[in-house]
Amino acid sequence: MNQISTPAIRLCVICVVCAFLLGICSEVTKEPIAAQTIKTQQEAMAAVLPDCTYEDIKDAKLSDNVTAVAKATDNSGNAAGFVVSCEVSSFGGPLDMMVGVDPNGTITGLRVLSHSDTPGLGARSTEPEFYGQFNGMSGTLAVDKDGGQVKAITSATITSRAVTSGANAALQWVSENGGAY
Amino acid sequence: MSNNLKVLRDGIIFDNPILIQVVGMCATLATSTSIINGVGMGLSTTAVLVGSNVVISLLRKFIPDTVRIPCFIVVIASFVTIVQLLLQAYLPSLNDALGLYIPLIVVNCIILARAEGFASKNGPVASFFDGLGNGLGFTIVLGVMGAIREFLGSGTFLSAKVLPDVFPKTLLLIMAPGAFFTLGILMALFKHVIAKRKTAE
Repeated sequence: MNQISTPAIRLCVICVVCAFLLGICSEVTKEPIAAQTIKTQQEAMAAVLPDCTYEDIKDAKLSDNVTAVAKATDNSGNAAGFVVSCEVSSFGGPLDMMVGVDPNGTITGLRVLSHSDTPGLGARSTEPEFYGQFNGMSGTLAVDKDGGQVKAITSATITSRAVTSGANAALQWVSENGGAY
Repeated sequence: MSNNLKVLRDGIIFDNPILIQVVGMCATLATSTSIINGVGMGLSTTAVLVGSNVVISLLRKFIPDTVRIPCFIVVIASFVTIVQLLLQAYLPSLNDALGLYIPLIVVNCIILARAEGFASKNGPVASFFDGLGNGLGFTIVLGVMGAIREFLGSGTFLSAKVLPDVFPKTLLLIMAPGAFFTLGILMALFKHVIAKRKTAE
């Protein structure tokens, strides 16, 4: 009997102590982590549509690729456009990105926030050389291989197409719904 | 040579976790695409390994033999989760750099192998040195693999361009098969050197 109960009780004690420590730790770090997440998001928004304040549009009409939209207001109180968060499927899985679009439907900035593509190939979508070219583009975009104006990353056409489709989803959202907000 | 130094040296060279024990392969293959990635993974693993070795060693008399594996796993997973939460909350820039690797550390069998093979049988001081030695051994090999793969695969060294564009880049090397090639060649070279040393003795 003792050979069964002693290990069971001790394992139980270790689990309870660990769970207790984890609980305390999670409780203590909850607020700083939430604050940090908001800060990171604000910084990403400031990168794609600078010098504005951002307000999430809670009732925005979302689609498969558009996951969230924030309305941007510049320092003098004028509508400066929208920051559209997109999730598209790329070579290695989902790719999260953020696109700033001004009220005229022109891209002001684009960033890839997270992806699981190949290092050195698709991962180069996070480099300015690639995402910088989207600034100032509008309408419907396509990569150069498909006869469009977006210069694809060498050997990473799938990633380039995915980012381009995200940019299109953002532009489409603004042209269809932008006037309503 | 004192016992602790011997433990440290064995971890780095004669019992090198990657080249001799062949543990932690998933992390090795995935993170050795560049020097910075490799060394980042190596150092975060070292920190967790030292911590978990000391904790397991302190608990070794309390943990019953029959249920030691579940006990180790609970302790290690809690330890890693606490480190991750603290990093996220208080050191966000470090978390951005290492965040990718921290969940990988939990599944890294180096940690469990050292808990089972060393810390559960030795005192906390020796376990500390064992963790440090194995962690550094892991870090050095990841750094070397990262350097080789980064140089030949992307033509860069520490993200600075060193190979001219005309030189063909071997893309294969920064993908998974390249990790196996690099690791196999390194392992063979290392064993060759160690074997030579042993016959000389």
